[in-house]
Amino acid sequence: MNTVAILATREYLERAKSRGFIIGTIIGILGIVAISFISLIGSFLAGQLTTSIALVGPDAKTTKMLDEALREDHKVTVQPYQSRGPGIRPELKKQVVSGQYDAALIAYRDAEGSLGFAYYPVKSASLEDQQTLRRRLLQPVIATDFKGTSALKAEHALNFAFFTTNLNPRYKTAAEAGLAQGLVYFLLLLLYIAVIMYGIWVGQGVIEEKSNRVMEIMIGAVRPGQLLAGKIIGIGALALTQMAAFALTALTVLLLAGHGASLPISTVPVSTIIYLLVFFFLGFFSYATMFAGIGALASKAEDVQQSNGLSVWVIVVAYMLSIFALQDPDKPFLVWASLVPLISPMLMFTRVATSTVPMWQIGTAIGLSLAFIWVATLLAAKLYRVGVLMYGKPLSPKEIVRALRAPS
Amino acid sequence: MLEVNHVSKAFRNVKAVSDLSFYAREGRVIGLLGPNGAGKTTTIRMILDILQPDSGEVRWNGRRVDAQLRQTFGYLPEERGLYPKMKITEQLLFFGRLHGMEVADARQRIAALFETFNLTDKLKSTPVELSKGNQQKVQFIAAILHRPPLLILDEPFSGFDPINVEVVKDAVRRLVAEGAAVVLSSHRMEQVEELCEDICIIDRSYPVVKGNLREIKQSWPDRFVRMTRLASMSFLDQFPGVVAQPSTDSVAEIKLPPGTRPADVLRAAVSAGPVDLFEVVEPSLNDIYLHYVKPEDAAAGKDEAP
Repeated sequence: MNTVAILATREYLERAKSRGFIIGTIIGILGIVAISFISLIGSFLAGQLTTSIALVGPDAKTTKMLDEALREDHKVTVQPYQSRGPGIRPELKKQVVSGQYDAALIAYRDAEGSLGFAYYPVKSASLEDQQTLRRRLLQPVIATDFKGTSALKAEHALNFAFFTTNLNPRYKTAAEAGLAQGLVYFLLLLLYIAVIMYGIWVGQGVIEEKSNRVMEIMIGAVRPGQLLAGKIIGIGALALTQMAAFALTALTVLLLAGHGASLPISTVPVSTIIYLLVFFFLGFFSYATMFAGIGALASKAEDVQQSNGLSVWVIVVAYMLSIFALQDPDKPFLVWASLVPLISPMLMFTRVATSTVPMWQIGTAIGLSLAFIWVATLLAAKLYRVGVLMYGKPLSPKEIVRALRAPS
Repeated sequence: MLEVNHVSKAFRNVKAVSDLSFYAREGRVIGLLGPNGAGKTTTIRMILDILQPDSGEVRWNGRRVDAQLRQTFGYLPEERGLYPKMKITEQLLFFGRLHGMEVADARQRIAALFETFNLTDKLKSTPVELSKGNQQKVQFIAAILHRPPLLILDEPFSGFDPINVEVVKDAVRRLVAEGAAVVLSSHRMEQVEELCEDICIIDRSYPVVKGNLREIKQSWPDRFVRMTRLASMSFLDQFPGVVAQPSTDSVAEIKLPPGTRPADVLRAAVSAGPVDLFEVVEPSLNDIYLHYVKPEDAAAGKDEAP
């Protein structure tokens, strides 16, 4: 067995046996069970959307009422013609698909004269968005359909017809679109937590070995680069194990709890899962090498927390951008940001999972990330050489630069 | 044989080691001495290929020390540590494997060494459950587990009580008898004197004296005399530069500068009072050390460079 494998195995086994890891895994599993029993998706998504809607009404009076009701939180454009059914005219469909409107809302009267709605979003419509719409539409429905009629009709009015047809060819049904977004959010959250947590483990591991002086013994037998590699690989493997445990739990619970029917988890594209793994590794290695370099330069856990602050901010920014991307994955600003290493693992994953991203963008993001990891590993190994046997005061920025310039 | 050939190392503008050469032969112990900050740890790190010398080279049996070679060496660092919550037997197995040992061989050897060091009842312990002395023993075992042909010990006796100092000394002697070359860095002169055939004293990065300890002592220009302390030691006044070391002991220690013959001193002493004891002794390693390393150097010693 080679040295890196021995180091990685120790890292993996000792951490897997530690109380912290076992408790963390159990809490994580319980958390997933709890989350699975709460409605999985909608409640996650906060914040109002100002969606521009093209509105087609059945008659002038109803159209006006609907327009007023929706105006509060939507940008409404009333179409100059009236609906004859739930269908969408080809030219309007074209406008929506081309991005002129976020969605089209067709209000129509059915054979019995009841008001019904057909909703045609193009972006992955969130359930929250649809719920807001429904709430807004309830008022005009009651006003037009409920006036002085029987209880039966009142009930009908409350359960007014509302169908969603996503015009984006990616999603076959509304449920699928909503589910996709909810799941993407869930996976993004997992990715975010995993990258931060496991990355920080690497940094802490370095600090621990320094502060308990094990490094001194090790350095006589192994090279700093091997130490670094063993640590990152061992913790990376452990991270995968834990994530696999969480994923299995989530799957089991979803299937057992009967959510299986309403949330067809099997519709999550395999490509999304593959991208999740790819971007997890890119993110983990990017941040882990950074944390390891920082750890090598610090001598106390307190110091490392300070320096970690900056990297954690980068993750938070990447996460925030990804939240934006959930709503609008193809905003030009987000497209560019999603190519940047450290940000791309989360942002590009979100975009890939919610929209159709050109291959060159995915390739560029992955390529730049790999390049970043390569450079960061070289730099971290250099810092490791200088830093691992250094205690006492932290290095000044000047000394760090000198260390990085030194030939390896 | 370990050859350290004219190695120099500077950190920025501070010289850590300047043109240092010495040999460590199989079956012998060489003592590496010097005040804090003299360059001992830097020298050890260059031997272990952790630091690269700016000039000069380190060879083992004619081959330049590289990662593969140094993996066979044993090293007990001055700053010691273990993984606090990992079972000591598992840690030793881990260290043994990092040094290229087979698992079965390492297990056997750990069991044997635990016996030697009276640790058999601690097989299942973790370091946090051990006394400091026992932790030190575990670290010492980690250094010698893989039967290193070259063993580097940095302050190996610190933290041990007198009984365990003997245990460690015996272990070192046994390794040397088996043919290991040992480099011993220490401040404890008595122990270095007991174990080392060769010494190398470094001061402010420069080697100030080195060679076979016996030869250094025999060629020492000063002579030391131990004699009964008389009521008055004023007879020494006729010998310029000779003074009895202040002491309340019944035995006086006298340093004779070159050119002063012990026989003359004895004659003068006998005429001055009853002399029960008079012996010419070799300088102690402590005397040699103090001769070469001036107190102000020791006081100016700062923390050793990385």
